[in-house]
Amino acid sequence: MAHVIVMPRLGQTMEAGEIVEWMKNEGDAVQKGEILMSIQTDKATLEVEADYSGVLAKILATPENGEIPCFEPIAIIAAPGESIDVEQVVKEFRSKEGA
Amino acid sequence: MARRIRFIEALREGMRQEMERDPSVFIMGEGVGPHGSAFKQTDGLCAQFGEERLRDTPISELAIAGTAVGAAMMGMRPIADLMWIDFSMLAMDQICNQAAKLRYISNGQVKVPLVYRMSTGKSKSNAAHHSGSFYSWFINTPGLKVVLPSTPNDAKGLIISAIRDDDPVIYLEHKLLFNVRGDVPEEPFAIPLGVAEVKREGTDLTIVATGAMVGFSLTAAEALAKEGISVEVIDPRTLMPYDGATILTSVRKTGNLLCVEEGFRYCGFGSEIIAFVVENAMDSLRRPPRQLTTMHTTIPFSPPMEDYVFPNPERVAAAVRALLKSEA
Amino acid sequence: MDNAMKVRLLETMLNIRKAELQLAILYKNGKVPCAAHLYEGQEAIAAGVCAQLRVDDCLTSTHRGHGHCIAKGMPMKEMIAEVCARKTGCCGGKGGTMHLFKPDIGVMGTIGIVGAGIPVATGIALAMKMQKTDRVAVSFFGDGAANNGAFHESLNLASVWKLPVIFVCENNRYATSVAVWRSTSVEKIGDRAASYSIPGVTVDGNCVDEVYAATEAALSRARTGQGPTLIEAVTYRVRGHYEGDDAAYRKQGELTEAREHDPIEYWKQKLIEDGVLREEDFAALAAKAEAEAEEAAAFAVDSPFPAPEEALILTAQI
Repeated sequence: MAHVIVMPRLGQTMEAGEIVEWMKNEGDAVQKGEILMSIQTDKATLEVEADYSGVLAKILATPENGEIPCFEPIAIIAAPGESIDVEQVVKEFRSKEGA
Repeated sequence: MARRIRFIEALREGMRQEMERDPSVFIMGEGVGPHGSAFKQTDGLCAQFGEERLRDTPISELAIAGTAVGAAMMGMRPIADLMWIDFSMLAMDQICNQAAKLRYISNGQVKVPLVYRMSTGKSKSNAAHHSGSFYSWFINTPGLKVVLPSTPNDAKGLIISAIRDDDPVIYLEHKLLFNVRGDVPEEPFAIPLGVAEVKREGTDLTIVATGAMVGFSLTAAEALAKEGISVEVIDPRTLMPYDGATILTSVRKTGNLLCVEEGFRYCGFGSEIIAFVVENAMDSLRRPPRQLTTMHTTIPFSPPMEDYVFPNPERVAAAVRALLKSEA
Repeated sequence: MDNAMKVRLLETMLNIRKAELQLAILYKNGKVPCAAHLYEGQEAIAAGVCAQLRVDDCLTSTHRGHGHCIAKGMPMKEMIAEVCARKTGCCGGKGGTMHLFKPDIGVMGTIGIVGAGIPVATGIALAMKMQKTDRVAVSFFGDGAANNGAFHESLNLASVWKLPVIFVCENNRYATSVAVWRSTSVEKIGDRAASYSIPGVTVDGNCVDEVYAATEAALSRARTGQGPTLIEAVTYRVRGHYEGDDAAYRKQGELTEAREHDPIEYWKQKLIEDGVLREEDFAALAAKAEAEAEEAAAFAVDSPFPAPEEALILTAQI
């Protein structure tokens, strides 16, 4: 099953963050708990762990995107071998989250 | 059968009868044991119930207030004597953050049936650290009930209700009232929390007075009656939750309101009552309501200065006259 | 300690760890509406103490109290749903992450004010004594609380009254952002017990066997009317004070060193060396705990929020 990774909220005052670096490339295997990326918040630069194991199927946001609001989709982790429709996954995610 | 006894005896009798009725009731505080408390409120109780239930504590207000919370959560009904309201500041977290809130935040899974007793108000040159009347702090804390009796009868009926209540109750004992005598039934009786009493009926103006101010207001009303002014005096007795209905009924009858209290003016109990009346019975008010309070200052030591800042019966009467002369 | 207990301690630690990591995910994804103070790395203390408590023994805890609730037997679902502010949480959404209660199993409250749970636990112990039971109260608190008046007043009173209470100071080296060495007059907080004429011990809080042994002794004193004990369990807060805290106040290398002395890893190795556990058993236990945490998270997220008007229930109105 494909999981949407969002710009995480890390701290009560954080409203948006910037991607500093992806530690994985699209297509790389990812273990839950592994460092997936680093982000710049209003307070600090922080490393963020993966919430799911699988394959980093799609990166939706990069440092070039600048500030991204918290909880906006920034990547998709899918099961190994799973083919995904990126737009569909994001759409389903948004409808589930009521956004 | 009613006898004429002192306020302090009535209070003690109420505690004694509750302790006889309910083994979970106990008293803790500095000197409550063999010494019988700072003002002798528990005199003789230790001899009757023993030191296990009249628990002398160190002067550790925070620990007294906090252990009372823990014991209450476990089914005991502690009466914690903090001695002076001024000392409660050392225990404020336990009173306002713990006792007041634990029933709520636990979604009713625990209850905190305890009584914090503290003496309040002016007496004789007790000065800045022993003359406090800042019960409005407690009124402003959801989860606390606040009681301030003005007669021996009320002292007994309200301590019994406070002990039986399932929420924390701040029970205030006015130092000027300890030796006041009045008729008090010998058998146990409970005055429900949240019920005011009309202490004197009148038609021209309503005084809402608390604690020692009730007596001052009754004295003033007596003097004013000779001038043809008919004053109704209401004692809310419970300051939170207060009996708004009785106050509104009275103001609808008299059309005028004076609040007399010993706390400070700003955000005080009197200001609250005026706001409540304005919100709910503005159309009944003939003149702007007023309040007579202790002046907004640290309480001074020297008697001329101390007397100057507190209400007294003459000032109550003067405030009534001034209000009735004001623009309608 | 028999083998079953050894495995049980590991299970409890894993349950706490997985629940906390799941909460970190929920927090990142906006499912936890407030700051979250996670207990990762301190699991051996909650596990080692609570394993020996009876259901009718009681505890108070702190703003970092999820682990104590789980160790005392609170179902993960009820804890996680409460932290996610749902109606199905242990307090129906009225309490939240810093105010967790389940009195029927002795969780008498995690309390959000530093030190404030200590006198409450002391009072719980007072009631237990006055009610002539052999029940015991435990107060969990941090090194920060040991510098608060509530700690000193409570230890004194509990000693004077010989109350059945165990004071468990989890020295995780930081009171919010201030290191213990910058704020505390003693090297060992356990030494402060001497001021109150009660036994005080300092143990490695990442070694569950040390915590267990210290608790065993304290419990036996408490149950037999010999009064309170202070246990200082030295540990390390591997996460920030709250999620998102970059903890820039840490000393260089401190975190790496602490990670190398992980309480779960320590106990796992010990059990493997003792022949109580195999690697695959550990993997199975970890997977089971993780699955339970994921299930609890799904339960929480699928649960309804309380109705707004429920806010006024339980408060007297005029």
